[in-house]
Formats: sequence, structure tokens, C-alpha cells
Amino acid sequence: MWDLFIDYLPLFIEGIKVTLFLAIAGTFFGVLIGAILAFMRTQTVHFTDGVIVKVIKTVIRWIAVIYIDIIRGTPMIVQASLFYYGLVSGFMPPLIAGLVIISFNTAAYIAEIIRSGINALDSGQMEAAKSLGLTEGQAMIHVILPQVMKNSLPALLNELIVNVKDSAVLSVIQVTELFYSSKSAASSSYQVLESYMIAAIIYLILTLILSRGVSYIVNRTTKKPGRQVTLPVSQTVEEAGV
Amino acid sequence: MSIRVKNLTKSFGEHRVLTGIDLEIQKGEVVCIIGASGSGKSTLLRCLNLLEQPSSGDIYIDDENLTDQSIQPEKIRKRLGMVFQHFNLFDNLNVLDNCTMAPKLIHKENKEVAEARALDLLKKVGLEAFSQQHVANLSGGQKQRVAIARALTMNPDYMLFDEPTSALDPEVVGDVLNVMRDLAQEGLTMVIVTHEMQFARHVADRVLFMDGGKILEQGTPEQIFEHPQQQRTKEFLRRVTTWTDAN
Repeated sequence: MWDLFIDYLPLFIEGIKVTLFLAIAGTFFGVLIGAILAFMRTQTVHFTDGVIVKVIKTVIRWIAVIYIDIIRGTPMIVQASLFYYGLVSGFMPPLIAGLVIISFNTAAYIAEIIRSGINALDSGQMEAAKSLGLTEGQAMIHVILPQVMKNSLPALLNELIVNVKDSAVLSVIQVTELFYSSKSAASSSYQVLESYMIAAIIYLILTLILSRGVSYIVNRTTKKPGRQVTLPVSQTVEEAGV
Repeated sequence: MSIRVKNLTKSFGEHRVLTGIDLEIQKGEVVCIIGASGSGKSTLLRCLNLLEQPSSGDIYIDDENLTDQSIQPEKIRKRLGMVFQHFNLFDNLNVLDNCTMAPKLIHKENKEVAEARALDLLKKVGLEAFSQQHVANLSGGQKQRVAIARALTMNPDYMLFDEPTSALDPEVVGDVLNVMRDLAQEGLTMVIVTHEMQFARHVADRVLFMDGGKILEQGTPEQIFEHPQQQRTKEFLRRVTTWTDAN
């Protein structure tokens, strides 16, 4: 198996590079698109809104609801085939099509992660922002989303790990990611078991490294902010000391 | 310049919280609203800056009617500062940024101007040294004083306080009340929902007693605390000011 790996090393390296590219870039764009979808999905009609605003908000919310339902309700392998072979195969390279698919697919899942983060955040944050005169959009961008993103970091990084594995289905549209590489190695070397074993081991190593990395990042960032900072002499401490 | 409330009602579904509220608050007045839990005090306050939707009636802030459909709530809200029971400081920002975000975004103040003003106000509430601290590092009393400074950065014409000391440890309540007393003495218009009877007695120009969604009685602190007319007011004051083993 080692010999096979060495023989086909450039192929596997290419596969790893493409897989990591798809997972990282896809999750990155997924977070951007997902945040927009979550914002659309959480539009609520207020009594202070005019009729036109009410209609716009309702339409925007339904667009997001339908999009999220369709994407989460169909397999990515079907979405990829439909999009690539049905629409763009003539002019879009497979790698770009794959990136589009994985970004828009993961965005639907990330939208739900962010939405539940928005719902879980203390409503007082929004009320305080409004009471100062911020519009809902300003409050979302400057107060709500920064906190939601931080709270959702573990789930978002988990989505990155999921994408390392799920990008394998993009082999169906000829994206030269890791699974595609191992398929090529299998068919040209006739060492089918070994080729797929190599793929499995590489996927496992990648996801193990990433999940350990995620734990490390999460542990660092979920500590109470600023705890290590030396405080100015606090009143409560002073009083307690008396 | 005044807040005028006319025949305001508010229901949450079937549950009627406010009934026929009439109220006028003049510029410079300090009004304390007292009453039992569930009497509608906080709801009344939250209607004044449209955090709650009035079910019927009118609310005029200066000459603008809040129940007018064309009203932009954010334009009204920036003129009414609000301090909440649970502080609601922005957890993603440090103390100084909590106080400069709204002026920068809404008044388009540049960083230096906004920060200088925020530091002035933080000094006023005694927390200048904490400007770079994250809000998680502050005690409740400190958080509430930052929240007051934050509301003041918008130069509001009116300040609304929704039970500002109810979530605080007893020993820091005084720090917050002192800041509020100083603001009252400077002539700021304040509407304060509170359970601090001594504070209301000494700082308020007028005290409202609310019961069952109505303003049952109002008058000077002396009238309300020394010579209450209504039976419900007497009962309430007896219950909040005395405790006997018999109950």
C-alpha cells in the first residue's frame, strides 16, 4: 500500500490540496452566504413598519425559508449533477462549479446554525441597540451577528470538518479532489482495496487534525474574555477587603 | 417639550396590561412610577419608546405622535435614553466602545469626539478607569452605571429607567442611585420605574402609583408617601416598607 501511495503521490497530493481548498473556501463563502440567509430568515414584521416594508420582509423571509428547505432536503450529489451537467458544464470548470455547489450547500446548514444563535441571544441586546436609535439592520451587524458568530464558532468549525468529507461527492462532476484521485489510482493500478484504504486514511488524518485544532481554538476563545487582564482596583474587591 | 400620553391601552392577546392611561410629563420633571409587579409600570415605560406597541390611544413625544404610521421609531428612540433592569450592555464590546457605537453610527461623530464625550460621561459615573475593560469584568453596579453613561452619549431629551436597581446587590444600589440623583439635579427629564421608595421620596418631583394597569394615584412624594388617599396605595406602601413576622 505504501508503494502505491508513493507511486501515485502527486495524484494524492493534488487530491488533498483540492479537498482542503473546497472545504476551507466553501465553508468561508458558506458563512458569508449563510449569515445573509439567516438575516433574511429572521426578518420579523413590526407594528412600526409600513405596508411596503411588511411585504418586503415577508417575501425575503419566505425566499430564505424555501431556499434552506430545498438545499437541506436534497442530496448534494444531486445538486452538483443538476447544476454542473444541467447548467454550466460548457463554460465553468469543474473546480469552480464544485466550489459554488459546496458553498451554497453548506450555507443552508450554516444559516440554520446562525439563526438558532440569533434566537438564543438575549433579546435585551437587540432592545438596547434599538433604544439607542439603531435600526434593526445596524443592530444586527454591529451587535447581534458578532456575538452570534463567536457563540456559533464550534458549530461553524464542525461544518468545516463535515465539508472535508462531503466534498468527496463532487467527484461526480469531475472535481479532482481526494476521492477522485483515489478512484483514478484504483482504476489505473488495479489495486482497488489499497487505493481506497489510502483515501480513507488520509481523510481520517485530515479530520482528526482539524477536530483537534477546532477543540484548541474553541477552548481558547470560549474562555471569558479579558479574564486574564489585570483589573483596576475594583470597587467590589475594595469593599470586600474592608 | 413634554411627553403626553392619552387614553393609552395595551393588551398582550387577551390579557389587558394598561387601561386608559393619561399622563403628561414636562421637560425637567423627575417622575417615579411605583406599584406592585404586574401593575403595568414597565409596559407603560416601554410604550414610550415603542419597544411595545400601544394597542390604542396616543403618545406624543414633544409634538410627534408615536402611534402615527409614518413615524420612524429609531428617530424617536434616539431622543429617549433607556436604562434596563438587566443592563443589556453589548457583550461583544468593551466599556468605551459600548458608549461610542451609537453616536458614531447615528450622529456620525468621529472617533475622537465620540470617545472624548464617552470618557467625560464615564468619569461622571465614576468609571473612567474602566474604559478599556471588557463588560464581563464589571460588577452589576458598574455595568448599570456604564449603561447610564451609554444612554447619555446620545444626548437624549428624556431618560427612561426600567427598575435600574432591581437586579443589583444591595451594597451597590447606592452607587447607581447617586448617579441618578445627580442627573435629576442637573435638570434631566427622567421617568423612573422603581421599587426604591426612599429614592422616589427624595428625588422625584412627582410619584405615580400604578395598580391593575391604571394610574391609581399621583402627586408629590409627600402626598403619596405621607397622605395616600387610596386604600390600595396605603396597602402597597405598608407592605413594601414594613415587614412583620405575622405575614
